Amino acid sequence: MATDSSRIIKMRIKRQDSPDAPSRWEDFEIPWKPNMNVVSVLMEIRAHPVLANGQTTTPVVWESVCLEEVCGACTMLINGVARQACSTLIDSLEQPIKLEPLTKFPLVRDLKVDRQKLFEHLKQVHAWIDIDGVFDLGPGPRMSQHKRDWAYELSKCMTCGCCFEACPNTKRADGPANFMGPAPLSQVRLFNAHPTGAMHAGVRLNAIMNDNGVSGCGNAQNCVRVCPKSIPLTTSIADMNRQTLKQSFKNALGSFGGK
Amino acid sequence: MAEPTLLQQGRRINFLKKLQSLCGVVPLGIFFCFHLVANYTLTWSIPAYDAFSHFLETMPYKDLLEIVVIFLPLLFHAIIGIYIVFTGSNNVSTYGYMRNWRYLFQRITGVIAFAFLVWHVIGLKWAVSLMPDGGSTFSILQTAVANPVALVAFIIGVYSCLYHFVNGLWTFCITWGITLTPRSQQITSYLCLALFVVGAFFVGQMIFCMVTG
Repeated sequence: MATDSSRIIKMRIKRQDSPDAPSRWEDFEIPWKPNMNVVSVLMEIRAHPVLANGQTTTPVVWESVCLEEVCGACTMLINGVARQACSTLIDSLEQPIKLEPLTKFPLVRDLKVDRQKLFEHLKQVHAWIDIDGVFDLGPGPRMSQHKRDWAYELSKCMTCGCCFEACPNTKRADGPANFMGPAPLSQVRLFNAHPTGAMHAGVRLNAIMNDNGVSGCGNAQNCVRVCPKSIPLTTSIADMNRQTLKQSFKNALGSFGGK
Repeated sequence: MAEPTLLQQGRRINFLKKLQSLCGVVPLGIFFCFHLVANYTLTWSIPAYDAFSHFLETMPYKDLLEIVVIFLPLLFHAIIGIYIVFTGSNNVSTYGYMRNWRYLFQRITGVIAFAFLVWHVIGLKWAVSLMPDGGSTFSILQTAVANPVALVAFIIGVYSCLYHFVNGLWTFCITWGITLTPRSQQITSYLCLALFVVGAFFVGQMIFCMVTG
């Protein structure tokens, strides 16, 4: 495809060489090509790490894996808003395009952050279905097609961190809040809806009745607006409010109906 | 007794936050509505207002009721509320959605409302309770807002309470798992807006009567 040499893409990238190093802004000017996304511009910069003023710099560090908005690795702040670099098209953005790392995760270098705590939260809420035992448990119950369609929407979560970043109640790098964010709460709803997963519903509900659990939500509802997969996160959170309320009655008064 | 584990400590915060939400509606929200209705007697006449406040002043077990139904829940709601304010942050400059603004206003009005209520209780309630028999509650009220700065502070305080209560009702429905779907949350949003408009008119009429006498 022919390049239009008269058009350039102006990009400002927030750089930081190491977790403790000071941050700085660097300006780049990249020749425009049709259908570019943020990742392809970052790849151009990697091939020619030269600033707009002609000075040579180090290649920008960022993470990306799938390049089709299903892994969440390339999540960063693009013009201030958390989204995936792979699915963000250059032509849809106002220039100069500002790229920054996510603010609520420990910084590794440049645009790369350590999103380990998202995984820790999934472990905390038992976000899996137990199928292994000391003997063969046999096939699980079937799910209706209707329920599968419904659960599929929740299962689209790729733990990208957009909702965690946009939530005013989650922890900043130096902040006091300790909320696990919307994504793991929605995962509790997903796994509790599964007929086999439901056997551990109480375990998951009790795990989100902590100081970093469902009561950390402040109903700002940014999560549902920024979710790239359009997961009904606020509905999931409200449902978890309802389910944990029932669970707390069970915990305090004993279970109902032998469950 | 053994030290509570980390899990149990976390539990306690979860429980206290739920209780904080409940307190905001029962008893505080109910009392707030009752207070506005009681104020409405001012639109009838000053003697009616004075008579009604005299009736409230002389209620049996008034002090006990005030402490249990108003002051303790209010103090609890405020302490946990301030904890919630300081553990959160605001990002409306990046995510300027309406609900995010409402989240921010809920916290701002909560802090204003608490400061206002401290002033309101000290400045008016004590003055009324120290009032000699046959005194006029209205005259105390009028003296308190005679200064234009005090009047503006009073108006901001009352409207902050109203916003905080109405928006709090909306979040209450979510926090207690009543409204789950976006549609039900939209409907309660409209209902709360309608309640705010009615309340604002009610408060406005009361303030008008208070200023004009």
